[in-house]
Formats: sequence, structure tokens, C-alpha cells
Amino acid sequence: MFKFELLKKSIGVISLEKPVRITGETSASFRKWYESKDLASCSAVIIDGNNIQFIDSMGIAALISIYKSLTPKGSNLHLVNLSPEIKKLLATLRLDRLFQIHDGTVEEAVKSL
Amino acid sequence: MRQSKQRFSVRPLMGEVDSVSARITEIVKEVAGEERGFRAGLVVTEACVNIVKYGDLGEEERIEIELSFEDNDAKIVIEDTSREFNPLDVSDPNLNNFELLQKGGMGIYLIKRCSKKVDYAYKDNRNILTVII
Repeated sequence: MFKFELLKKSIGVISLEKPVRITGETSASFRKWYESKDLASCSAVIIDGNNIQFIDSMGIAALISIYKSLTPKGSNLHLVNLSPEIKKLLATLRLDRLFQIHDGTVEEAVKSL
Repeated sequence: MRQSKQRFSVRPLMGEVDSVSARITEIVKEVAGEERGFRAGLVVTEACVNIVKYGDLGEEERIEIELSFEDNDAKIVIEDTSREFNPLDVSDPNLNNFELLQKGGMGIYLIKRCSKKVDYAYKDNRNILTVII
């Protein structure tokens, strides 16, 4: 369901292979999955939100957890291709100050790093 | 605008809550647009996940959800038989402290922020949460 690839040797890109609602049990699976990846060694992590249909507070807590694993090394979490509803949700929680939210594509986000 | 009421009887399981939330999202989207559909699904998820996680409901008990439309608004009534709990009594989380935010309080805050109006009542041993979106 989740896919991880490394671009430019150190930029981790997380994407979803099909449309997914990141809620409840899926949040738990997502958390377990990304904990098996060495995200802390990435210079940045990009999540491609193209297939994120819906996210709840548990899913958002998982994003905060990824963010926390990156910041000790000065890396950051970048979110691209989010739906307007998810962007608004993150803004409601003021998490748009924490995560780097990009309007463009993954490729454009990679170029900007 | 659709007038009839739709009712959902949900077993206290995360997977069932998600299925019903997805259905309600689609219904509200169809009637009131993408943004309200998303908010409706989020409110249902956050309210019901709290009940599943902390309500200590038995397998045979159900969370009852009623969806209707009034004028341009979606009205969602969520009832459960767990112990009395008024989510409106819960203080808003400190949004400047994401560590605390991650630990809890986000769900109830989102219910409040995603709704035009939220009412709570405890009647006949039932928590009744009424949300207008």
C-alpha cells in the first residue's frame, strides 16, 4: 500500500499505491511501515499526498511523528499534492507552520531542495 | 436539497467507523459539496473513534448515527450508550505545542472547528452529540 523511494541518494519519497484513507487501523499500519524505514537518515522526506483521500487526527499524529524523527538532524517533512480539504485541515491545526507544504509536484519539490 | 433522514448503526470497531465515515463523506459531498463532505466524514470519524477507544462499549452495543439535511446544512446526530462524556467540556489543545497535540485533544478540537454548531446532551443513559455542518 505504501511505497518508499530514495531520490538524489538522500531524499525519501513516500507515496501510496492506491487511494487510501489514513485513519484508525490504516494509521497504525502506516506508522508500523514507516518505522521500518530509515527516515532519520534522509536529508528530507516528501510525502506525495496524491492518493490520500482522507486523513483523521490519528493520521495527522503519524505525520507529526515522522516530522519529529527528522528534525534532530535538521531535515524536514514536505507534503505535496494534498487535496484542498487536507491543506485546510492542517492549517486549522496550524501544522502548516511545521510541515513544508508544496503546491507543485514531487519533482518540483525535489528540485527545490 | 435532500430531506430524508438516513440512519447508520455502527459496531464499535475502527474499521466499521471508517466505512460509515466514508459513506457519510460521499453522501454529504453529493448534496453539499466536497469541503462539507470532508468535514462531515471527519466529525463522524473523530466522534466515533473516541467512543470506540474510550467508551468501553460491548460487542453487542452500537453507535447510532442519523444524517439529515436542513436547508443547506448537514445535520449529524451521534448517540452511544457509553458513560457520560461531554466533549464540549474538553479544553482546546495548545496548537503551539505539537508534542502535546500529537498526544491527544486534536479530535475533539476538530469536531468543534469543522462544525457550524455542536450540541451535547445526556439523556436516557445516552450521549447525544448533534453537529451541524
